[in-house]
Amino acid sequence: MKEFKVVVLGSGGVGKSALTVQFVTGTFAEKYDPTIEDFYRKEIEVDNSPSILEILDTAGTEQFASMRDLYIKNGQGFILVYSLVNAQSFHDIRPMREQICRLKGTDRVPIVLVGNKVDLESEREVRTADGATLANEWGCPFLETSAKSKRNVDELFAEIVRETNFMSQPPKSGDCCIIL
Amino acid sequence: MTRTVQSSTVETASVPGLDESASKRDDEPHTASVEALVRRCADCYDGDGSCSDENFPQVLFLTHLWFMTSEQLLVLFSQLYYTFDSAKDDQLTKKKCFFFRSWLHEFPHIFDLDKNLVRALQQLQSNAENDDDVDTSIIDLSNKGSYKWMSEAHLSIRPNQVNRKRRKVSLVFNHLEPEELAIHISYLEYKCFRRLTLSDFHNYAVHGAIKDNPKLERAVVLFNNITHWVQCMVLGHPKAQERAVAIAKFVEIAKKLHAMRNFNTLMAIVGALTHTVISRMKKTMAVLPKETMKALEEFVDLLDSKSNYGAYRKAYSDAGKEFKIPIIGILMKDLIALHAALPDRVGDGLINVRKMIGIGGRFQEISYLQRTPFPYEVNRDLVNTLRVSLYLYYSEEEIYQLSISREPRDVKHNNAANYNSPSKFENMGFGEFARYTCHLDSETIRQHVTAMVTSVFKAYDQNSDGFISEAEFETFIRNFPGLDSFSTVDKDKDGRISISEMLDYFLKISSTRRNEVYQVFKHDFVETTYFHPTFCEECEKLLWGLVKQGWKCKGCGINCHKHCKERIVQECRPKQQSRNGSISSQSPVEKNGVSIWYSFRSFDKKGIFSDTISASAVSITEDEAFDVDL
Repeated sequence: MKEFKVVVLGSGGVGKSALTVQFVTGTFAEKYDPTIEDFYRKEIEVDNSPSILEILDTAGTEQFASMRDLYIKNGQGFILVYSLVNAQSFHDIRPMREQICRLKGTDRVPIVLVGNKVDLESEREVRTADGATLANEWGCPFLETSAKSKRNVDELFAEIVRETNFMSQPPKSGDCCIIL
Repeated sequence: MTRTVQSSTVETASVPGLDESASKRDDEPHTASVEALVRRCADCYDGDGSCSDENFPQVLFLTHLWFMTSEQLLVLFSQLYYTFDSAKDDQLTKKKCFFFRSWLHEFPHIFDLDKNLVRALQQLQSNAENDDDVDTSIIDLSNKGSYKWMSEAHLSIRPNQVNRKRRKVSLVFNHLEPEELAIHISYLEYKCFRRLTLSDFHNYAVHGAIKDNPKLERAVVLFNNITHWVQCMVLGHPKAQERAVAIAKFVEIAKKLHAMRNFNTLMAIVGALTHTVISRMKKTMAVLPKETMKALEEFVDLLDSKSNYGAYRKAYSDAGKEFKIPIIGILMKDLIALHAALPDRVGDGLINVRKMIGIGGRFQEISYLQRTPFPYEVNRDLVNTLRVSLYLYYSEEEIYQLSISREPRDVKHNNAANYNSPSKFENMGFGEFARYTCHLDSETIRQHVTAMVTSVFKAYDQNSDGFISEAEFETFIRNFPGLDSFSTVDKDKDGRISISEMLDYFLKISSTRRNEVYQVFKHDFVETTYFHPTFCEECEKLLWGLVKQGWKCKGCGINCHKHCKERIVQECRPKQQSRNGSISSQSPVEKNGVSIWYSFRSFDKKGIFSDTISASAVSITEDEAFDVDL
């Protein structure tokens, strides 16, 4: 079975762990211990083909400069999370992608952009259009999720698998964005 | 409001200690009311003050902040106190007192930090004074435990008066054995680690930010500074061969750290050496000894995030009860994950005992490690020196640029990939990280710098006349890659360095170095009419129109569109020799819309990059900055 290494990135407090935990445990969160070896591995079926995701949740290690390089090197797909109730977390996203691309030496890195905490609609600071524009600029999928209400959580991880599959194929001509 | 103690819940809960296997039993209830927990806790004590199960009260003390304030816990206890007096449980009042006593004794800092808690305790004490059965002195604040374990003495610094004369300790890092460096870095790391309180961890796990969490911030900064320091110590050498030697030395240090089980610093150093800024230098990597490479790869495997950091977790738990320093990032990751995975309360406000135990286990471990004595002997002079050298702050971008200037990018490769164009990287490194590179107050800096300078003079000023020679200073200053050489520090040019010259110099750079934004290379654009077809520096398109087609910088002469002006990332370097028609293949960074250029640019002939910006620094050609091995 195909195995994907996915890294979940974003500033502190945007809900990376909540999303990851929600996905790997489903509704049985209270039964699991997030410090055991297999906690972050989960099988997922995308477009009728099963694969295994190994997810690295970077919560807690965001600030440690040299750890970042190590996990970006290991990752194949990247989920960039901001909190849509925190504009700063949205601004923090761009340099993260730049660092990933610099390390990978290419623009063609499987990335999914995620605005989390859509359940807090009334406190929203980042418009859906802002996220969509950024995703469009990067040519990557964009989702608004809620770990709390479980909205789009499974879809998010399915999307990163699709994106990783897509990127592993050679680029077609005319595939790149043309900026005028 | 009446609180009834659901003692039935307690009985069935039989709240387990930290026995992992017990806590994983599926048949065990995972929730309890707060009252039940408190009652269960009091029952751990006997009337004579002995404790039948020390584990449980400890877990409650350690983790209660997750579920309630300390004051609430105390109030719950005092309610228990009165509710049960009528129940004729003679022992209970005593039990509760002993519970408070052990709380006071084991966790004095909680009482130091929480005024409300102290007030509530004093209230309780005065209420109990009328009760003949209770010895109120037991719960007197004067019974509070001491911080003895926190004291310096506990950290086993022994200046060792006898040995000092015989064995002169060098303060030059290059002259030190890897083991000595490993011990002294570990000492600083350990000091920082043991200051972290459990409420710091709790705060971080809940809020996900280290703002307003100065101790944790300090730990993060130390970790990053070690990383950057290691990289600068390597990049400070102009020749690939020398850099390889420096890397090999740090790998030796890493081996020692591994043997000492200081996993945190090990992570910082291995992360530093495998970081792009080092690994991208192919010439350096080519001359790295095979065994160094192999050792480094083994460490990478050990610290790999694969299988939830499985290899590291195994090594860490294999170390057992020995002295060790966990990787703080992973510790925080686990706490955050536990916090996200398990709700605090379930059902009808019942406490999630599973969460309490999960977190309690980690907290018990942290507390235990923080109280373990530092098992190595430490030389204070070396600590003083190392401490100051570690807080010279370099940004990731500065280090990256230094790496590029040591071994320039493969230009051909770049054109093919069309990727690494400087304009794409306006602001490397996470914004968040940049916001938190914090800093000590000037008084602390002064203390540390003074201590270091005193140590240096103690070691090198043989005749105690208050001066050290140029040669001695030059070797010492190599500890600080990036700093000036002798001539800048020797202000009065008498050929030697006095205490005050050195002090002034280090204070100056310590306070200004990190905050400096060099705006001297900012462009000065004026609207210009061109008489020949001219192209924009930024977008490379024609500057169109008949008059006032674009803007020209008065300083360096580059041209661009009005709308491209703000996007120019090249610094203004008037005398820069251009290559291939472009100003530079190197990329200064644009921060906050201001093009800045780092002071690193100028390298003196020893390959030590100078901290001063002068007119001559501007005229340096790229070739001079390149690896002399070219």
